Amino acid sequence: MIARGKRAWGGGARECGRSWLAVALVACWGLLAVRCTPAPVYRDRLPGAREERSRRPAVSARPVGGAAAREAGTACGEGVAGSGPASGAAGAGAAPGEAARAYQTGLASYYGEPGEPTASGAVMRPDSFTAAHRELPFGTIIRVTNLENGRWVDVEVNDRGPFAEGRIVDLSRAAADRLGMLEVGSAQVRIEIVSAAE
Amino acid sequence: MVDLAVRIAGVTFANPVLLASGTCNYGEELSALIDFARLGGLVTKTITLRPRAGNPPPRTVETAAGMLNSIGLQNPGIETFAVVHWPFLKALPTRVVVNIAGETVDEFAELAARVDALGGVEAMELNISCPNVSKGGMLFGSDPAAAAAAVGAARRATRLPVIAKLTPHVADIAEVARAVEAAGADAVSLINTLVGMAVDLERRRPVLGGVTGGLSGPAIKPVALAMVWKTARAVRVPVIGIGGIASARDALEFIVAGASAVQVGTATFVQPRACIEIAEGIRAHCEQRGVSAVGSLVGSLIVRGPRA
Repeated sequence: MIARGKRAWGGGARECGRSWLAVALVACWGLLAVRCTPAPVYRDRLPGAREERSRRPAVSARPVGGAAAREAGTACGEGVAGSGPASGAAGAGAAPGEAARAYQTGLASYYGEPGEPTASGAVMRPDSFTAAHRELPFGTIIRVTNLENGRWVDVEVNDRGPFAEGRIVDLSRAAADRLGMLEVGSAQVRIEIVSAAE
Repeated sequence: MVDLAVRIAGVTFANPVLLASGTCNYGEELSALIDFARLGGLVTKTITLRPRAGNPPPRTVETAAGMLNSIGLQNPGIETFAVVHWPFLKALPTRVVVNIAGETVDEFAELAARVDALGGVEAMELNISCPNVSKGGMLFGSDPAAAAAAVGAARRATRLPVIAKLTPHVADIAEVARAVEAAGADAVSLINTLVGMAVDLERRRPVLGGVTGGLSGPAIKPVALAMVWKTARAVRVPVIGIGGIASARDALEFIVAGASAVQVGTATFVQPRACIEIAEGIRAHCEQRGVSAVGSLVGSLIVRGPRA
């Protein structure tokens, strides 16, 4: 059934009838769970369903970011923006079986006036997600995780800095906002490489 | 080596192809069929504050080059989702976007806060465009002010990226897009389904239990393309293209028209691996043409001369 549907829409109008039969069949199959289960009983709550899932082998490595980054985010306990500091458990460790790929940990701050030139030649836009780093190549995408609340953001390195002692990265305003560090102005963060510059 | 990664509002997706909301439930059903690590991301089935039983059956019907559905946002509600489904999703090796729908502006705010508190969510998509419910849904998305109110409420309740999913049932989708951008949306995704209907002539009854439903599939692709093109020119935030994408060519057409990423839905019912094959097809296209990064194709459409 699935195999038949594989070439659907590839062969023009002539094949439409046949391929759409496949759509209907597969759609019915796909929605079977929804249609045949009396609400609000969910299949997952039936005995055995969860156990079976937990026995499945661990998922393969993440394409970008990494389970470590996501794992760190799980401790993010802050429900509403500005509702106060969350637990400090974030960033405590990587997912089981996967090493944390931290490039650096240390203090982050934020900076930037609109329109200022950056070291890469790009114009500073506080509403975009960028960062200044002392050595990472321009174009590198890094995931910066606020170790104090577990929030993270992916930013592109497009500037040099920070040059203040004891700081490892300077973030655009939008990125700092996402990390919940606008008011305090700085935060302990972990940097991971998401993708290297070309 | 082609760079397929796209970054939207501070979130990096491994490639620009995401599973669309409502076509992959909460990921569990597809887990035996696809390798999630090869997806750009996954958007969950819409979650509401309270459980919803959905609309009476039949809920789907095939049409020429498409399908109609009238599920009516059946879902277990945010509390059950958090306990039963989120742990599985959170462990998936792909970026997960959680889709939510409120019946009121306040519900959008509460849901946004609850999703934020789940921990590990990459972004949320606001369904202000469902055609199959009597409250909320499309009623928000078809009015710029109401759409902005829903987005603004969610925006104030979370720091996570907020994506507004728009309905095609408006006179000018660019106006709604500008309104939600001003209200704080980090991106817009479009289009949701078009309202359609099927009639059983022999029985003289509507085919769908909900009478009307949402039309999806290749039939709506040209409509979606036009709206994506129009929207991408009207807003600064990224546009995620949705509507009848079934091949890499389709996806690339959306990207060239201005979409930073795409979502694939109905095609998944034909071929569960559709998303992955589309992503691979985009890579092959870029390799053949010497395109080093898919991002450089976004909005590269050449339009000659002014339009009358």
